[in-house]
Amino acid sequence: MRFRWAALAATLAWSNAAVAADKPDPGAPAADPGPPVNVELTDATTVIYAWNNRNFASGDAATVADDNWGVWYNRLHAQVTRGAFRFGFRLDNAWFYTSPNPTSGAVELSEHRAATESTTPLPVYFRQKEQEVGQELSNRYINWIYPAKIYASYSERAYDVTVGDGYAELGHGMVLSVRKRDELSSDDTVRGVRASGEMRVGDARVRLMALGGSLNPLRMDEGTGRYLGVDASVTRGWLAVTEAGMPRAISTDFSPQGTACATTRTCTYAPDRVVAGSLTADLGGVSLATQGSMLVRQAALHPDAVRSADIATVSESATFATHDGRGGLALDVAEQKLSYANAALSMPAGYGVYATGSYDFSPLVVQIEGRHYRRLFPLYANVNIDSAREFSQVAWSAPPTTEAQYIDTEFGNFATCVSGGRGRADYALVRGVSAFAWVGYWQTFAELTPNERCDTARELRNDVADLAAGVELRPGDARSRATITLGGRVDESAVPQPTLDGPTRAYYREAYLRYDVVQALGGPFALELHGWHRRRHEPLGPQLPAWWEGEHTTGLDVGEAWAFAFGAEYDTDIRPPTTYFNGTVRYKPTSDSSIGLFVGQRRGALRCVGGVCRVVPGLEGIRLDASVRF
Amino acid sequence: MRAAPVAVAALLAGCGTNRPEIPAELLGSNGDSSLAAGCDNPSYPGAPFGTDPGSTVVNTCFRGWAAPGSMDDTDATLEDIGFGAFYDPTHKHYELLLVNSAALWCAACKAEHATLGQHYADLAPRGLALVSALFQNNAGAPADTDDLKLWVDTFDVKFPMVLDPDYQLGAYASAETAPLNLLVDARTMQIMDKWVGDQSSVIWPTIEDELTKREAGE
Repeated sequence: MRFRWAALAATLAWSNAAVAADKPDPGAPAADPGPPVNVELTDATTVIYAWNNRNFASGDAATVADDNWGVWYNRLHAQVTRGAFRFGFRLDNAWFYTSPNPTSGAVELSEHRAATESTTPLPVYFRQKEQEVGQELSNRYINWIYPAKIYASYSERAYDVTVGDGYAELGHGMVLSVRKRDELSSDDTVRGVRASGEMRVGDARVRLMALGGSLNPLRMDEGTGRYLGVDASVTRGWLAVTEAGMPRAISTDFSPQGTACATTRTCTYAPDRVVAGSLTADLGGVSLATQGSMLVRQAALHPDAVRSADIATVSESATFATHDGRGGLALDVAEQKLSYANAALSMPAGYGVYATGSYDFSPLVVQIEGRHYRRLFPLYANVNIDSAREFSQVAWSAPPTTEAQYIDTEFGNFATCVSGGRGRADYALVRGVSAFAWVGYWQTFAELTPNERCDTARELRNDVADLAAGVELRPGDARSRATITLGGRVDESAVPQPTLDGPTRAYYREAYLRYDVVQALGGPFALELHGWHRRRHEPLGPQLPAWWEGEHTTGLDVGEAWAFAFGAEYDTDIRPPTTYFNGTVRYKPTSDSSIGLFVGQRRGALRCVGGVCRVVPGLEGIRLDASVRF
Repeated sequence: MRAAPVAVAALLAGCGTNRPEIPAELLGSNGDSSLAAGCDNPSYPGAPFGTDPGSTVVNTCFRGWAAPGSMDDTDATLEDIGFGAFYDPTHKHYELLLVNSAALWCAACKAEHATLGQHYADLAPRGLALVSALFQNNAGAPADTDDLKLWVDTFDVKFPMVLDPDYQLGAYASAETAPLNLLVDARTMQIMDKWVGDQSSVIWPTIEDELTKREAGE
């Protein structure tokens, strides 16, 4: 607590000092006032109340720990700019005004216990489940206020220096990808020092960038109320500074403090450290770059192949553009080495090759992407995925997938040992109407089993084809547009696999329809239709029959200020629930402020954007979002 | 009206409680926790117990088949199997115990079980004991004997395979993160490592490395 408030006080003091220093001294002679001071404040606030989400499973403590809770979650971002100087901070706070408790959860589990082969007496069962629910709640629904982001920077035309939180994207995401992804509610940064400079050498521009620090993900998962906590054993040395004020592991009756982070259930993050750099030469139509990163771990909180390793990744990049600007080609070649304290885990260095090219043959535009990865791993954060599973997908790199942005069906370690690519063609049929289609094909050796060593034996191979076709409509009316896509995916193992229904090669099959339609109705009104409807079959997965899954939203926009929507979702997978209904109202009184209300049910799902995925939990309840900037 | 400030003050001070009523049938005595006869092992290490590496795993009792396929796998042949059966302070039979969980809906569990039997066959002679617990069916409901039989037949299981319909292994990991693999030192019943998800490339080198060290007398 002391650290937390100290950091906050320092933040505010620094902020005040910066502003005060810019105020003219009334006693001093008039002088050049210098550049003006700009102060920008943005506040985004969310109030959630979640009621019973209907996912109860007998004996499963987690399914009673996610009902009947509520939070006020606020993000205050302030930025002060004066000329080349910029200072900013983001202060996050979560206050849980209600939450379940272990005893009520255990009572619910006991009262709805299924009749089974178990010989455990009911009172013993009750005590076991109270302990489990207590453990599950030990790092959920805890109130925190912490400095999520803080930075000061100085930027001139040719160089800039940042101290504090900053973003980095190197080598098409293969070397480092630490950034904000609004679609996934993530905001990862490097908290440390970053400097870059640029110089001209003849006609060429050369830019050098270096950074170092600790990696700083958002510590609160607003959808589940889970937080990432650190303790003194993983915040030694300069990490004590970068982690000052951040949420700490706590001790509860159900999860006592251990001797170190790895043995403390609520200690769920051991901050990773990184040094990285890049050298880029822009020669006009050709750009060349070399970049590298070194990820240094602390003791693994989950000792898997990636989280146990220090990881060095380097890559060479080249981009070419045609003189007429109609075509381009980009190539990245990366090498990655995982180093272990335990030599028994060592494996050969991995590598990845990614290429993408496009050309505009108007009215036809063609784009081709390809990848060949062998033991190329995402840099997963050193998170305890046992007790903070919501953060299991947090990673500091994001190798390109060559898939469509929304594809969420690369199962297992698909992308760590894969070869293949995708070609897409867009054809302008008439003005405002174009058709598109793509075909993708990949061979992966890490979907059936994790296969971290990337053994390319035939019995480990899956052949995956992904196809889609659709139309885009852009009528003259600027407010109307439509994109409709029909797609499918066939994923087969090279050799038949045993299943509970007998051997099969079918690993995954899907056919789907997606649409995004906005139609102006006259006056201030516009109709919006959005949907994604999927027929899915995963014989080697949960061994269920094929099922339907999807969502549809009908919306009505009234000018720029009001929007109303009604949504329906369904999932005929045999695990309940199967239907979800919700309504949303949004009001934007000004361009810098908005308020939105969601009431109803939304199913949980894996959401992916460009290969970066996150398990978004379902919500059944009320959610109020408001934001204002001034 | 005078009562209002008092009530507000009481609320602010946290007066009252939201602790729920516990039905009488859930309140039992400590004697309730005695294990079924087939699972009891009087020499098993005592409390304190824990669920994370470094702590002692509590003796937990299941119903299952100790040697599936060796006789008819039916309700009638289910027997009590507890962790206590693998406690071996003199390491006469066992050096390490791997506790594994599985569910019918769990793709990673199936991938893991495709090779689990072969790993067990290779390492059992060197002192590895393995017990796998099936806890849920496709619909997320507690697994029953039919589910266990289906699993054993599909993966030709030859090691102890038990039912965990109460998901007692939930003390170690959430069902969502299945499979759980808990590596336990059979000499002390202390948890050495805990993995969730299919982590074959780490689990087996770690076990082989540990067995090699023990064979070398380290």
